[in-house]
Amino acid sequence: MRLSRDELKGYMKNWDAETRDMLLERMEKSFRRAELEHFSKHEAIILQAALDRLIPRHETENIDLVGFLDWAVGKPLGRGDREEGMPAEEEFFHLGIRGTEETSLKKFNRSFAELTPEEQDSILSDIQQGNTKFFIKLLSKALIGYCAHPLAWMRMGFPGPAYPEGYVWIEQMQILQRRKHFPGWKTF
Amino acid sequence: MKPGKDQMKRYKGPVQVCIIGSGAGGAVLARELAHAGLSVVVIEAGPWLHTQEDFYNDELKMLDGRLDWDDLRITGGKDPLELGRVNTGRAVGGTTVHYTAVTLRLHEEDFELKTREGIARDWPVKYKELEPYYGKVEKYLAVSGPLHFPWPPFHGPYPHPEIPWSARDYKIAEGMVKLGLTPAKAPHAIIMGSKDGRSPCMMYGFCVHGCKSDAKSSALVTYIPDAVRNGAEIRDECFAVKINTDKNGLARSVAYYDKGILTEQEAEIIIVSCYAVESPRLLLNSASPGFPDGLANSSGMVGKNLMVHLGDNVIARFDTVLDNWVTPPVGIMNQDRYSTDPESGFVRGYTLEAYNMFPIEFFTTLVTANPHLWGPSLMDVIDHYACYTMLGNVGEVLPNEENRVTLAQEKDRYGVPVAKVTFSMDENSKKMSKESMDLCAEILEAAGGRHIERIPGTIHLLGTCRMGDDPRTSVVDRWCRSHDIPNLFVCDGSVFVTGGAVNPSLTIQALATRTAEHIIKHGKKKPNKPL
Repeated sequence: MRLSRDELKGYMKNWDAETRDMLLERMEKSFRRAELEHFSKHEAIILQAALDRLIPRHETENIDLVGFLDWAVGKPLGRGDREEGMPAEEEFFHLGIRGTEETSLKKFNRSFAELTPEEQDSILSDIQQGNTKFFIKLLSKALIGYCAHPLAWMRMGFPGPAYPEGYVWIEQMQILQRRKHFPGWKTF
Repeated sequence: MKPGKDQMKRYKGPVQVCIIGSGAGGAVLARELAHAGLSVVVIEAGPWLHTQEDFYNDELKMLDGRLDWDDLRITGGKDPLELGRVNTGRAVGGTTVHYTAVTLRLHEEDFELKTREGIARDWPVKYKELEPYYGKVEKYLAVSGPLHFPWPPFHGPYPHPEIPWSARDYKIAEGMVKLGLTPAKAPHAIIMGSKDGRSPCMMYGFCVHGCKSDAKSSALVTYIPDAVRNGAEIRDECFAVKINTDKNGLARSVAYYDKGILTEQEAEIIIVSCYAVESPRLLLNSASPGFPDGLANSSGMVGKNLMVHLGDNVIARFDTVLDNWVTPPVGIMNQDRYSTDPESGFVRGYTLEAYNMFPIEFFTTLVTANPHLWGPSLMDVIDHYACYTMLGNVGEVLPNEENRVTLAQEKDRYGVPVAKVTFSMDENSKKMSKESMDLCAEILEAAGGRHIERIPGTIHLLGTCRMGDDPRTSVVDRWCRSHDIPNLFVCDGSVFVTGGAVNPSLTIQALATRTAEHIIKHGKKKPNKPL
């Protein structure tokens, strides 16, 4: 991806001030955290290693998913349901991370964060098969953060908020023409 | 659009009607009853949002708890339900604030499945009785739909012209036509021209995250302001915890927390419109010495027969950019497989609907159903997100007493037991789900789609206080009045006997219009014995 900060700012010009401020604040506060609230440093290192394999980002996609998870864990984000017998979300994360580390120690005799990428992938595959619920929880919660970040939208080709100008290009030809006016949209 | 709160009429002391919940059922009742001159108070757990000030064109921002019921609910059964944006809401306007605004009518056969096919139960109401109310609601909401709608029972024309077809609509239509299926644009409660100070649809596509342009005729911008104009009072952020009864066994008042303070509202008629989880929860939590099993529950049916619709989606990647998020989420649709097909191996059928999802919903549902997508294979989908589109179904799931809402051990912040929602998918629905997803995949492939992935899911919640003529097997009568307590009504999706295979909001609104008319006509007179 080739996207400078200035380009992002140009991209944001289409949004109204309120939407823009809300997104800038999100990028500032929901992703980067000076101090983690829910996870220990050790947990954060494991999460970081796992998320780099689960959602591999380009080096310019500077999206701190561990910071986001720390912000998001325990927040319902639209859903309050909990399966019978399951622990609350924060506890579920602690248990899952501990499980990941234990699997790693058992299989490779090293911490998850110190494994080679291939070894990490094999552990993640084991978790996907063995502890599917945690795997889905981790992946989908992290994806909420990833998919809420303007840098990821640029990669997807998703224009973000439509307000206030709206989308007028609803047919194929219009889409293609419209895209020409947004250099940077499909150039990465 | 919203009349100022300072202009709203305030009631002190007892009123004629107290409605709990302001969604598809409650808002319609409030408007109709207030319009007829009754004193109406609506108690709503969620906040009263202003579409233009409070809504953002952003998924994560709108997941902050202002639209969704995000209090704890316990799920169980073989296929625990996801309770979120797709099936439950909490705000003035209820779930209509984030519904897709698809306004389809049930078919005639849906009301008499037992008679025609020997399945489930007949509704006590027939389509013909509901038809004028469907028409009234469609006119009021100014539904935009095709000039000719191909499937029965209503062939149009709709009050407004249909929403323009988007790129993905043409693509999927191509696939449908190749397979001999008829495509048609789904009718929507979205205005295509200015109306009452509301602007026409801007194609933002953010319908399910709150329509910022007021084009979507959610209750928040239609029935609610109309109700307030006619003298109804809406009490937002008020959480009803109990319905009290008097010594004659009549409903007397609603106890609710108004921003943390326990308050009581007396009323001659009390209407529960909290949708299929919270309505039975409130009735069960209102148990008293006179009603040990909960209110209106002499049949034991409160909470039973929870129904959902299949809400499976199939995604496919095309070699051109489709910008699937443009235009309202539901695009073209098809009901050629709506009825029972003896050759299919299952009973009843489904509606096909082209759908879109914004990135968060798209990728979270995708990986939840397909956890093998991670790492490079996930990033491959992310890189091609703009080329994906999806086709899904709304499939009929038949009632089953084992699927139910009960009270859990856990309590909410007011100390009231939360709902436990138990659900297991039956074999018939599983077969239907598989067949319909196969058909969706075939259609997408015929249109040129590749990289197909399936996302099984469910939508809507129905049927936990079903209506019927027999007080031993149903909770409310044909007018949505409870059999046990003559001045207590339940009017929302929970009265559905069977769910059909269409989005339920229009039917809820039609039923509420009819119930309101009945209340106006008969006042609080004791009802005659059911016919």
